[in-house]
Amino acid sequence: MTASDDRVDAVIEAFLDHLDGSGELPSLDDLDPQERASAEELIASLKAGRGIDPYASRPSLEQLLAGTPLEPALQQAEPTSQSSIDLLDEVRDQLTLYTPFHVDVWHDAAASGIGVRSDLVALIGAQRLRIQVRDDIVGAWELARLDPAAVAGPVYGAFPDTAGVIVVYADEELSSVAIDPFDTEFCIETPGGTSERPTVHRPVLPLADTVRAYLDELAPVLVATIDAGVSFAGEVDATAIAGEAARRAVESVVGDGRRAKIDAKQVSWGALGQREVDALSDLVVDALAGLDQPMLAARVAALTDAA
Amino acid sequence: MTMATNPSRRPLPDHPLLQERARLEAILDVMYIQIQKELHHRRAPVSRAGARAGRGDEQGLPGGESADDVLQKAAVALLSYPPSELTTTWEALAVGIAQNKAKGSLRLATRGRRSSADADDVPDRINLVPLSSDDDSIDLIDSLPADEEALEREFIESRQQQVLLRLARELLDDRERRIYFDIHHLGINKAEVGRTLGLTGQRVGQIYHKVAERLLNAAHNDPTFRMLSNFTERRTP
Repeated sequence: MTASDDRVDAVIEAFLDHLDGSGELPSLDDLDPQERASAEELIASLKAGRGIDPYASRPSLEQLLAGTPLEPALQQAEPTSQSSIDLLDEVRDQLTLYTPFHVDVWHDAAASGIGVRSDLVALIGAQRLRIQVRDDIVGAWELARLDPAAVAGPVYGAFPDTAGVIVVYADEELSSVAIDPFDTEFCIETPGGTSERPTVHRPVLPLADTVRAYLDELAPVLVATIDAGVSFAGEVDATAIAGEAARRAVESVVGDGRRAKIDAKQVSWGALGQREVDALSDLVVDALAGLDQPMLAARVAALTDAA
Repeated sequence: MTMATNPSRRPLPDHPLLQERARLEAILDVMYIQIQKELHHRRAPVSRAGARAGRGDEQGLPGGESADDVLQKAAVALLSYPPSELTTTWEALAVGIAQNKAKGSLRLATRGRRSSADADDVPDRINLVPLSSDDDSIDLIDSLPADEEALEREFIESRQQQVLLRLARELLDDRERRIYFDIHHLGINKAEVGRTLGLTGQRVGQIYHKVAERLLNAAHNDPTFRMLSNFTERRTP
């Protein structure tokens, strides 16, 4: 840091103290013209920014004028194009297929007013989703290759209350993909610990399915599972199911071990095999057969020690 | 006086601002900022916990009105203003209306609860009659301050703050953004910000300075920000 930075720093520091009520208004007399201009600009910006709520999201013009005598005037002033109305109706139809919540859809005038790409807002239950219709891609498959940071970053930046951005390709079934706020950030992948670029993680699905799956993540609707008494033990081959589940679990660990950067992890995880599959499978079958809790705990402990 | 007794100020279906949607959206953004600044500058500094808990929620005044409510009144008042009576720019008028509506709401919310010292201060800052309870009342706009250049300056400053906000969301990491929002917008004491981040108040001040400077540099390269300095040259009523 240079001496010049230090001098401006001191002035800004003193000005912040002044704003907090614990100091005098600092003098700029000791600064050279360039420093002074920099300090004045910073102070002016600070004054102008005070009191603004950075987390607030302005209501749209439609919301502001709803129920006022100006509501019909707004519709007259800016008649929405027929194709746009058709799309809105189509989106609404698809979303109402998923009925547990109240669904409301409207044009995203607030976003278009500030140049942010978002065409529709869908209020589903308490979740506000923004829908971006892409006419600049050649097929639904391209949705999976979009850069989430470029596509959804500005939307989350401008409207922090957005629960999800749904990108739609306007084909017959409204193919779409959901992008959550974390998809727009770099992330650290496990087990390698490498930093990965933002990517689309979810599959491309028809709009109704995309929204249903995404809302299940955000606000799962919990329903009672089938009563265990309804199924009969004879109809289910527990050994085969447990064996298959154990095999997949061990395979997954072995796969992670291959990608691991730590040698010990690579060796120990990669060494798992049929012996572990059998042990896990037996454990599950015995547990289902009524193995008591202490015995179960002892078996799990023995397996852990062996690993 | 209410709108019912002043037929010249009924909402206009062919209001020119309704034909210029982008301009109207920009004006509404600035009105929202002006209202927030009027409502918040009288409150004790908002704690970050409170501000973050309130993300996306309306923050109400004691009387029950929020910035969103005040904005609705201000928007209706603006769009009810007859173009033939306009003597300044729509932008300046909008800032004046927003400030007055916010002050009126504050006055209503704090009626009977202000200290005598506050009461002395208020007439200097509020140059209007109390708000009518009628939502359609627009008499306050008659009492706009004469200094329309100051209102236009406020408009430009608010738009510039919008650009800085956007850049802060795009360019800063979580910690920098938190420090910038807490100090620059929410007015939280830097020592308090430092306590929550494990930093000294002085270090927070230094980080804020660096971040604010970085954002201003980025803003000067932003076409929207640069364009705003030419605003006064296109004073089209």
